[in-house]
Amino acid sequence: MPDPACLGLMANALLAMVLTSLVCGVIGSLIVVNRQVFLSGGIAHASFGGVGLAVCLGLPVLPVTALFALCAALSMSWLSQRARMFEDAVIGVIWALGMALGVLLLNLAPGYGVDPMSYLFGSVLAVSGTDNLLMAGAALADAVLCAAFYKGFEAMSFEEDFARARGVPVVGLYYLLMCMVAVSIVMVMRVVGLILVIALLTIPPLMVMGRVKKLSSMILWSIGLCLFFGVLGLVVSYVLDLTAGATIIAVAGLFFVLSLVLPGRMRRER
Amino acid sequence: MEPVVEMNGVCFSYDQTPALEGVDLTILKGQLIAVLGPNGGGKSTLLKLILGLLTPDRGLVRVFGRPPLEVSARMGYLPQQKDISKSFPATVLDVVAMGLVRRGRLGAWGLRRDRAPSAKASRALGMVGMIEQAKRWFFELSGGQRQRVLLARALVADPDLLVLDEPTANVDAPAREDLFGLLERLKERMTIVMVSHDVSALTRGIDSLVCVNRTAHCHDRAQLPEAIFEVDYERLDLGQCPVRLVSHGRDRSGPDETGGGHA
Repeated sequence: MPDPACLGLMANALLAMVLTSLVCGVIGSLIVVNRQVFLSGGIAHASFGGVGLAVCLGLPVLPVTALFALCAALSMSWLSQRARMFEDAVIGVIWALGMALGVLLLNLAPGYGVDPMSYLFGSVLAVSGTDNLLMAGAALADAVLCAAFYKGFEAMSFEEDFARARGVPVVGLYYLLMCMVAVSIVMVMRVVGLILVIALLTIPPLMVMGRVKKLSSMILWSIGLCLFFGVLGLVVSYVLDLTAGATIIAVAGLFFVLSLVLPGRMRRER
Repeated sequence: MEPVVEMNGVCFSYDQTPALEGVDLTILKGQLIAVLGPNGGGKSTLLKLILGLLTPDRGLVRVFGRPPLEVSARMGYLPQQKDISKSFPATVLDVVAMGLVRRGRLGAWGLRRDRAPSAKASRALGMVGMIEQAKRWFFELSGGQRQRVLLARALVADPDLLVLDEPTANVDAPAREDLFGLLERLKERMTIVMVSHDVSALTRGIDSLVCVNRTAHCHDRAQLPEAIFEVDYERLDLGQCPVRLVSHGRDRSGPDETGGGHA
């Protein structure tokens, strides 16, 4: 007979997983079709600086990190637009700087403070009701923004020049998307962690790419796959007593490899 | 006749490399213009300046008498295919409907939906003969079919100016004939600027020929009623304007005896 307290934790974790799937399905599909995965990975890692800042100042972690991630996202997007040729190098620098800043600030933090591992690799069983509430907010915001700007996002990710010629505010939508990425990543970091989140963002859309005919179906399928990997990962981690975040990613990775041998995958890019 | 595109002393460089210098060009309403020139000569750049995708370093571009970006809703654009991801999840109908996004409050963002977008998209697909493929995945199509779908996307919003970057790329001979026939019919309703490598394009319905190689020269067909156009590929290799205008039995004064070629 399982411990009821443990069941309560599991229920909370499941709810967190549902919300994470909503966020990752929407944001992941958009960054994959827009080819902004590397920049998003950079934002996720750099956000660790925000965790350090929050702990050091004794402030609530999620809001402070979200604010920090927003600043990182805006500066990285701005620099990568300006640097053009050396976009990846610029992203790489901020990526590492953010992480280093996080570690240094945690060193300076008074007392024993926080285990950085839980933010880097997630600790879904430690997700609180407040965390879930914030995640629900992020999921709602992502869904509304994606629906509102859907036509613009679709046209711009299909072909940027054409979208610009039609007057789509491509630059504005690009910054908006990066802000959505920043906030969303921070909101789900308790579940899968800042380092692992990029896998949960990219694996489901990559698996359905070449198998669905619409961007909206890609988003819905990604949400479903995310949830499937999340729940299966949670169960496996519970049974085998493994770290939940890493197990979820491992499960997703396994299915990704399987999907590569199934027919109807992505087209070869010239 | 009313000018649709006016370019005065337009210069444009990519970083330090000049692409176009001192371009003066006027395109009148209802004209079908072919733009010809060597690779890297600035043909696509010229189109992007007309569309407002690029801003000139010097000089002035006006479309319908206004800055290009203000009239983007009146222009239809067929870009080169090379920048499109091969796995993008979209049906043929979706791709054509993307041509309906437009500037303006909420317009491009998607909140303001066009009335009956799929009816408009279907009509545009009918014009290019691709209606049977409407439900298919865009990247299941052949290169030539994709080109026709992208042309439908350029046409779907009923533009007054159609800007085509190599519409005959990847298109086989019969489909190319269809395309030129379609352009001749469309000419009744809109002004068309077309970049083409395809010489056979030049024999049909073209009003003027613009040769672009760092600068632009306009050959007006009306002034050369019996001229036939010949493309000299040797000149093209030399990076010179490849078009020689050979007029039969006419005494045309040109820079050399074979006709009006220019360096």
